[in-house]
Amino acid sequence: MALLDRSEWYDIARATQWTFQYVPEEEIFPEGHSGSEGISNEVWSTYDEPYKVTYREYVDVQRQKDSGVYSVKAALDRLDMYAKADPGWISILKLHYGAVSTVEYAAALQESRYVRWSKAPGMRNMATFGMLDEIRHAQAQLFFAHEYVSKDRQFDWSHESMKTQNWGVLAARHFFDDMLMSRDATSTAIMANFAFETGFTNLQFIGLASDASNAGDFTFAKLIQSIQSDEARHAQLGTPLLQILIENGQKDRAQRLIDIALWRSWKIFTILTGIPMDYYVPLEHRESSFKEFMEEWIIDQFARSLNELGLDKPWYWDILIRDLSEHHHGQQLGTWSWRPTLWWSPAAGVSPEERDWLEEKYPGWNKTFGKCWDVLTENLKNGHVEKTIPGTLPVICNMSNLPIVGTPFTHLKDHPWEYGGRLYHFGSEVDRWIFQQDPERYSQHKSLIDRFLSGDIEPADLGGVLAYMGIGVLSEGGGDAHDYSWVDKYRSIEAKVS
Amino acid sequence: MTEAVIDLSPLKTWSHLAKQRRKPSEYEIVSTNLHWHTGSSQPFDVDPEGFMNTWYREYRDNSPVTHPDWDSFRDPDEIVYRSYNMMQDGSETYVDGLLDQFSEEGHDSGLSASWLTTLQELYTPGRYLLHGAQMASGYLVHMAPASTISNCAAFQSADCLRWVSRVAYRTRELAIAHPELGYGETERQMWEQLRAWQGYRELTERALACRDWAESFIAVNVVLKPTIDECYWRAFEVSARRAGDSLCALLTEAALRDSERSRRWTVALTRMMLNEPANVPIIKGWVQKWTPLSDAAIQAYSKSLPDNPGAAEAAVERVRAFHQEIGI
Amino acid sequence: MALFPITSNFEGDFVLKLVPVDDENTMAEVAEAAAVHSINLHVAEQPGKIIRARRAGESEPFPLEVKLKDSGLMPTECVDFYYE
Repeated sequence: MALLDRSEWYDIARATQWTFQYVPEEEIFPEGHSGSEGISNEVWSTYDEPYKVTYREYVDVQRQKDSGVYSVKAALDRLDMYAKADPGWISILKLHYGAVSTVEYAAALQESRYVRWSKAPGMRNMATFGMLDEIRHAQAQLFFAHEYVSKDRQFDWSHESMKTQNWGVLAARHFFDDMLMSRDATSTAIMANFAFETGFTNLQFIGLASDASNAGDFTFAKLIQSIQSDEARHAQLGTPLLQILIENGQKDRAQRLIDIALWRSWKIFTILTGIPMDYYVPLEHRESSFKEFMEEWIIDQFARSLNELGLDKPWYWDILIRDLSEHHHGQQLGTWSWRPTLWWSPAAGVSPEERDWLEEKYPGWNKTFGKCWDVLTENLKNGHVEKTIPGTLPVICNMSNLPIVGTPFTHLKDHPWEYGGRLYHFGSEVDRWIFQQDPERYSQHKSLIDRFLSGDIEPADLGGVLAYMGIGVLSEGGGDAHDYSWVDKYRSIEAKVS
Repeated sequence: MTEAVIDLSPLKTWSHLAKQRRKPSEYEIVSTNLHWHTGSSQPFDVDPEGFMNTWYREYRDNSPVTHPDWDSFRDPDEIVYRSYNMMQDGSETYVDGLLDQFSEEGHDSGLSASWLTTLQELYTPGRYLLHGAQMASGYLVHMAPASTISNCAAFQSADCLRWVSRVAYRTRELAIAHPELGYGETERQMWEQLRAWQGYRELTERALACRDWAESFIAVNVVLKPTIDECYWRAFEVSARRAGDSLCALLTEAALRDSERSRRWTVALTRMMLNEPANVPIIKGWVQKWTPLSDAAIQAYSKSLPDNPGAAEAAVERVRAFHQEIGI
Repeated sequence: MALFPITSNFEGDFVLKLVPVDDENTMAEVAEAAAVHSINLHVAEQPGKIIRARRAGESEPFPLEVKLKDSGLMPTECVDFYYE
């Protein structure tokens, strides 16, 4: 007889539940941390993770994965992709690393909360690997981003971003604190592992990986594909948990958590993935549109997994479908217009050929978002860069903490709600609905605009706001990624016509 | 609004490391100053008076043990994720080799009936103890005020899972060799009812219920883990050798390699705490509070160890020696 | 005289904008202030037309001469601006 197969002993390693004798159980599993109320320990011990891995297998497989990723990096560093890359691609790297690296680290803390607070022994073991995975993702992305820090100060945001008050960070922190950091382990696993990871990390890590390969950044492609292979494993933590909740009369709770998490994830990914895919990736390298990826990964696949579990599509499904063609176009106009507030330089992505592509992928784009770009482009054509930068701030949603955008002429609308004597503004009825689910949870948070108006930002002018957001402090803000060279194409068309 | 024109030239590393005027190591680049929910009176941006913010304020930010710069902590081993896997993959390959070889040699069928009883009572139920340490280490990961501390705790938690797994593996092997004995079925009962385990069980349960992050670190790393090392592993190993169970002894030596790494960062962090004079009486008070539980665990467990007189005294002495090494 | 910020939803724009005005301003002045942040930046000018303001979602505009403090609007409330 040689070594035992995993299946022969695996169940013993996850039979670790015992009855507490010296300390009351609620001291060891406070409800606020574990979120296990109403379900017996016998039921928790039936938790069965669909993807099984042992420690022995884990350290072996992960060592090999890292070896692959770091050796590709070492081999390709010499090719100096950075010097040859399109500036739009460099902006994607800055945005991605700034938004993702240390959030991955927070996800390690999230997984460690399951190690400690989950009443399901199988989940505690799987989360131990999930915790290591997230440390891997933080460390690898920090290490890879660090390569570029000596080329451009804006890469310092890969490490520092989440400690700043930049508007994008305020949005990210509100979202991640809500979903990853401040709820009990059971709720967090449903929101973060099931809704966020099985739904959305595919977009960033698979969708963007094909664009990266096309754009010649094989190092980044390899890195994020490898990360996604871990996500695909530990994302499955949430599914058996959902089954347990549904079978034990907590379907409504599960549905509500998913409905909140899916919408909040959608909003943040319009910035993180939607904008880069449809505007920053050089046209010739685009694999699919953001909408097409969303339709594949969320509208089809995620909806199917909800259905398989006996859950419903969120009540706002029709609003989400409409938003797929709209929301990120507004956010692109916003981020590009307020580019001095960013730690990256956004690509406009609206040269004549790019506008043709947008119109093809999003029929009606020219008649709506295109109209705003017409005005911006006209000013640039006439050499008035200063007329393309707003002199005021956008109004910000008190849930997503993103500018309240919409489709020109058709869907732009505030969704206000007065609560406790304060007027709140929301970008959609779904954002407002989330707030109304638990007003106390959200009501004291101040958006960037609330801070500006209540005197938290000094001096209370636009320079003060930029400094408050870390611009001119940590690095310079953004400009146009291509230094407006795309405007020349319009000038030459005009010259031909005249 | 005009475009920012202030010149901020690139640095050679992260701005926070640029001050140290030397090339940072990979460990420093990927491990330092990563917590972004420290340093504010409201750790998380939602639910300011809710459960989680209150918990972190009370048990992390208002810990009686303080330090002006927790982020300055460094793991003496400077372990990063990829070095951890390389190292542990090698260690696991070695352990696989042991298990394979002893299995080939029919090791388990040669064990004596009395030693098989000892394994069943005092060895295989240890997965509960080790899993308790795995969970308690997980607590330190999300409660520690510096990422460099969280990382050490995360690798420690994973190490515990490693040995939960290997003990489970051995449990199954013994069940296959001796199906009539009930290996794989009796461990929970032993852990919950056998007198020998009750000291360990109490120490584990109390360590799990400990909330202040610094006290939890003392309870887990300075008391619980060394108590596991010196008695469950080391004292048992002595009996194992005398019973001819060299597989058990060799596995234990491998487990203790992980413990040595845990102890190196434990020493470093405890000394960092003790460097602040106001912390000294608090730390000493905690060690005094937790050590009797350690002593009781060792006494209860050692009583049942065969062919090992003086095991308890020796284990207690070794835990004390560790405390002295730290400076307590 | 007191700062009175409003939220501008300017027809043809893609984003709601913060427009700091004064409670003594008339709606004509408020519309002018809102126009500064939209017209020729994100929205094309329509020469010869006047800009009207109405409470978000309502059909009738405010009279041009009504002062903001008499409009019944709350600070930061959303106002629709459009060419007439």
